[in-house]
Amino acid sequence: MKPSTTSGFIAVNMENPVLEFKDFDQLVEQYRTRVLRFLFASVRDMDVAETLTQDCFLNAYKGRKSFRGECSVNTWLMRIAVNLVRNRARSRRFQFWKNTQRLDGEDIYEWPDRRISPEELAAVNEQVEAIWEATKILSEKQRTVFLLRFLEDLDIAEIAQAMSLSENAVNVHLFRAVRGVRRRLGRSE
Amino acid sequence: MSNHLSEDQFIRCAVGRAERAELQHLGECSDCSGEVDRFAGSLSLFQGTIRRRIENRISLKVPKTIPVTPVEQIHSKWRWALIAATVVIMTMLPFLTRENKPRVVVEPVVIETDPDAIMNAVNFHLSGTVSAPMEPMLSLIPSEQFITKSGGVQ
Repeated sequence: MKPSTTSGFIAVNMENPVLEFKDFDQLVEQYRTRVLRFLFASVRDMDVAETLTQDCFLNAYKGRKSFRGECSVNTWLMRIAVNLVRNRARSRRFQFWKNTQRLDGEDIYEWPDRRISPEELAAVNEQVEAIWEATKILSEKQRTVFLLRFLEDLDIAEIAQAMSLSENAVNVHLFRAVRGVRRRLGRSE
Repeated sequence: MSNHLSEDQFIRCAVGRAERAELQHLGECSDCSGEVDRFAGSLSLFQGTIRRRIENRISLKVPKTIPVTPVEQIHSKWRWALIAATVVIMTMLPFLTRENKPRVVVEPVVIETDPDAIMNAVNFHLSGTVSAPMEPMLSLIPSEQFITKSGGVQ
């Protein structure tokens, strides 16, 4: 496969076809917001999301020599982030008494958004809240596929790479996720 | 049979995997196309709003530094310190072990080679009591080196 050469912080070692990161700090700066956004939407706790973002870049730094440019840097980082979310979900299954603590604790509607009028804001909030709530009831894989597709704009092939699934499996999860969200939206309308 | 899209067909349209017949239906049915547009609009709104709000939230917080490079540097420094210490120890080791080792004093083995001394020993033996029948006499027989050397016992 053709290596990704769009990022300025990646150099190709011609003798050994391994990509080398020239400036990892630049990579962190460029992708931090994106990774944090996905992680926050997945775990719904900003403190946890920030910790996982640090873990994500730390894992990326440790595994930077294994990155061969078979996918984009964004997809590679998303794969690490997806694994972190998955590992966290697994560990939380054994801590069932903690499950109810912070999942609903972070209210996105507390954040000010001064660009639109209060009426518009209310309407937007209602719709966004419905989808936000709908994603909670999805399974972990369905939610991840949904967020990668509709929040991060990844295409099916990229999602498949990020989640180590086949494209057919991603399509099935996406289909079920959209159906779940639509049913929830239909109920709220 | 319904004239509108089924749920599965609707979802296929919403995720951008509509087939030819479904696209044709959307072109003809304003209800279905309106519903698909509304749903797609909601998803787009969700994306824009959540992105903006999370980014606002992130910008309010001081970005935390990720100590990936310093950790590597620390490891590197410790590695070099360890290598330097090993080299120094390996260099000093022979000197340290040599000083501590107790000196073994080799005392010269005194071999009685003086002919007079040998004769004195023989005389001393002969002047003693008569030997028992089975008493070994080997100690009195001179070795070859004394026989061949000048001044030895003939």
